[in-house]
Amino acid sequence: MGNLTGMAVRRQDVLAWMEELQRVYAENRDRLTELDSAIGDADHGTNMDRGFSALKTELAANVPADIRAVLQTVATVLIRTVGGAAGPLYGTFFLRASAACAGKPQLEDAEIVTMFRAGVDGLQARGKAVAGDKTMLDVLLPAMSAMGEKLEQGGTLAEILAAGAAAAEKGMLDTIPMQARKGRASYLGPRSIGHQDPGATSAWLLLKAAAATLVSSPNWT
Amino acid sequence: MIGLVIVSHSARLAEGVCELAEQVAQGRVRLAAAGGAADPEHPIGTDAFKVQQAIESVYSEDGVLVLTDLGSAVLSAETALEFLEEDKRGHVKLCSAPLVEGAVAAASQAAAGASMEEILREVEAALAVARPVAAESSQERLVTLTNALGLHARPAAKLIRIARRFQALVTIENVTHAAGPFEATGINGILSLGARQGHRLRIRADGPDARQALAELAVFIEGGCGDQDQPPEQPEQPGKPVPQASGELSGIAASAGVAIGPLVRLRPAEVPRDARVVDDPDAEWRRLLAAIHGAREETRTLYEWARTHAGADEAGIFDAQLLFLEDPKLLDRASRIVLGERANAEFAWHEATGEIAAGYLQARAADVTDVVDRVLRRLTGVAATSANLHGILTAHDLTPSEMAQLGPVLGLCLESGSASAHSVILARAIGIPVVAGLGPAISAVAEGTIVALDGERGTVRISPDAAQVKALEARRKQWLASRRTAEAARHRPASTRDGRPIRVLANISGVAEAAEAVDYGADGVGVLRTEFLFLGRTAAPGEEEQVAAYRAIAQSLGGRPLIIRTLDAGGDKSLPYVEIGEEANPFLGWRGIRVTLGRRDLFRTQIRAVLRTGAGQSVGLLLPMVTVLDELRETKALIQDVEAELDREGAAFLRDIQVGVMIEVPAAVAIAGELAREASFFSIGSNDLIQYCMAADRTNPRVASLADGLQPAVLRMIRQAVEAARAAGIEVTLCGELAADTLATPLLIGLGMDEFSVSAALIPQLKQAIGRWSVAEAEAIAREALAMDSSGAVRKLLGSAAR
Repeated sequence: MGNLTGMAVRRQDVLAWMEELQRVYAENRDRLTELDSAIGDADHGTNMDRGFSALKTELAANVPADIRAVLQTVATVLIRTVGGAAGPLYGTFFLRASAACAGKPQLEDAEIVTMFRAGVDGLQARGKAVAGDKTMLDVLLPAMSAMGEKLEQGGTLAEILAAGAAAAEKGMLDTIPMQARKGRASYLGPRSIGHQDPGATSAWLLLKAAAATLVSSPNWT
Repeated sequence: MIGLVIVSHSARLAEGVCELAEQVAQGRVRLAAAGGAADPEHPIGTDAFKVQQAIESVYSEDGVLVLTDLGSAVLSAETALEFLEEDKRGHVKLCSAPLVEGAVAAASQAAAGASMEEILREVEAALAVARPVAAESSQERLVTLTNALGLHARPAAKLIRIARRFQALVTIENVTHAAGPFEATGINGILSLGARQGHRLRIRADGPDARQALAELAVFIEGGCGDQDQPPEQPEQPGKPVPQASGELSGIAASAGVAIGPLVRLRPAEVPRDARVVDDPDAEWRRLLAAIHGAREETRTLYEWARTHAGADEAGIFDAQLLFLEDPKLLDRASRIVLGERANAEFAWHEATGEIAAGYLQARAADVTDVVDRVLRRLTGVAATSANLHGILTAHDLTPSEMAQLGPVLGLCLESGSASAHSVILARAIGIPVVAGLGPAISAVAEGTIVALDGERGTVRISPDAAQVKALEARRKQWLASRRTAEAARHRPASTRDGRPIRVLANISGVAEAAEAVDYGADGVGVLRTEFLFLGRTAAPGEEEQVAAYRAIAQSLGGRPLIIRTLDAGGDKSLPYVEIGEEANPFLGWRGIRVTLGRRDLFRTQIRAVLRTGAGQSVGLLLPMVTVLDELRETKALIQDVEAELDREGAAFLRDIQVGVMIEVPAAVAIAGELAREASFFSIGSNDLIQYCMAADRTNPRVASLADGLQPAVLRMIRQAVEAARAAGIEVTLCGELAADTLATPLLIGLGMDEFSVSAALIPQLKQAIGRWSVAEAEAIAREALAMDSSGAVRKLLGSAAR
């Protein structure tokens, strides 16, 4: 055994995150679809579940070589299978996140935050939504702020991700009184008020699962 | 080749849209459908990889345009770009235009050879059509109508033009009169507000730029609707200037000949509009739309004419007529009658316009009748002229179709026009004497008054006495006899009295005219105006169609030379598929070779067709509006390119075709030496050369006398061009109205013309005129004329030489 050089997220942690996501989206499938049926086209839960089930099959068949390749596979599978807006949006999130991991066998705390930020930036550029449009960004943007803040304060990865998940949950609830200005729900205009946004909900689940799985393990070299 | 990718949530929809686009793409656009998600269990959705593959399948550096349906299709398409190679990405454009309108617009543009940039612009326009009104802001405002005449047709037209500039949906309600609200998109709605001075109007605007729209409309309405004629309009004075009972009016000698008879006036024809049931309502509806489209073009021409000659304010009435023809309510009503009731187009148009116009357009009934009839005339082919008029016809001006319908009239007195107006050219061709540019004085002469018209001197004598009648009748007999002799001798080649051969060719614009030209004795075709193939249709003619037409003409000519002039669009000839845009000055704008060099797709097709027609035939190419040397060079380079292409294809074609330039711009005269060294021949287009040289519009009676081919400035330009041609050893043809003026024939021979090209019907007289002169006489006349200081002096010289 070598020396302990620090703490880092490794490939198997990311794979665990994906496994957790598969479980979480399967479990929340009906709930997400129900939320979507109020203000959308009632397929978000089915779509997410389908995407992550397909991902599970894919990862069982081939395990990609590093974190970047894992995230790339996630992106590809989601884009191909999720359908609706969520496919390209989450696909872009993971694609940009994977790019941020290029050449890194493992990720330090700060690099995890960078990875999330790259993903969220990509997703925002793709969806062109801003805070307050009643979208997944109303979850992801406050989560990024909270994670960034916690990192500045010298928090551990667990603390950073927990802060992100907590901010995400608050952001998700904040979407309830909002009027949708993007996506299918925006067609409803004022009638979208009073409903929790399904995309915001799936985004919260994504961060919650990250907090539960992405732990820094001791890093031996 | 530009590629087009259709992204839809539904595979069937994407394929259907491709099918639709394919219809206009004519195989010149690569199309790919990327519809549906990858999961067969859940086929509705989009798949970025499918989109990426579709892009790759149609990719070239010309670019790929991706059109998408609902929101997430855009996301997938954008995501697809991430998977493309960096250098390809720049050539792929996403467009948020409505899928169907956008795809068809893009395919038709791409098929017409438009660049990606042009396509995007066009597709954006499709977007504007289908874009729903963003409900971001809704505003309203009450204003008071201040102008004395109220919201009549002209201010209503202006108001609509303002409202249409905004995305916001604008409605207007007359609060005082409790009328409306009506959308400010149709003129009939606005007119039916019955808004008069002092009425309160509520303007409402919904949409992103509502505030700005309201502000501009309020300023317009409260500022008097841009009306300058603030006092109520005076009714037309019933008694115009006292009719002249006798005396002589003088105008322009437009068509030779003498005629004596009673004066008759042009009366509008009865247009049949009986109802009948049609078998194919769709075809009937298209027929009506085509007629409305034609009437719009005609009205637009009138608008332009009026704007140039009488100012924008006066032209406003034509703008109002245009809006009437574009009124969605009217079109909707008419379509219901045709498609719903299976009625014929004439009846539907009459009914729909009657319903829409009833009540509120009384004040402007004549204007509405005018525009309604304009459509009906197109439907029925009945011109405004009744064909059984005898005597001497007087009119403001005649349209070519009215001329063509003329009955046995003896002569024509025109208030407007000049020697080179289209109506006059036709009159000359059918041998009717014309005096043009007489002004309003002729309309004051009572119908039935005997008048004697002298088309050689340009005079009209009112109530001539017995001696005058006798003298004129003698001249008329002489004129008729000379015409008969000319007819008899028309098939002999023309030459001067001392034997120098001068070819007389025909200007034609159609396949049937070729045989007619031969019948009139033409030695060939000096100018085939190819516009006849391009006008009145929505897409440019293809290569095969052009080859077929040119070949048919060449065959009718039986080996006689055929000079094909390349498309001369622009100026007064606009084509729906060549976006020329609003030009303040179309005759100084994008026209002639400027257009074809800018639209290489059209040019290349035409050149290919001409070269292929030339195989085994005597065919030459003529370029209109050449102004700089580069235009000739670029065209020759393109011809070389086409030759190489045809070689590769192994097609039969005419190699090293003769390429002539039209000399019709003073700039071309100034560089005639350089042009002559690189061109195979010159063809002097006198009509345009005169108007550009003299800066005078021949249709404007106030300056028509300046637009005279006998002006010393014009003669010197012709001389200069001929000298340059001589120095380079190439031949010169004169085409245009000057060539047809037999008074000028000796002068033109003396200036060194090798050929004339004129309307076919004028060939016999021209051949006869050529035979009257020897070269030496003609050269002496030319020398003397070139030294003169006015067109009047030249005309006098020619007149005395002729006697």
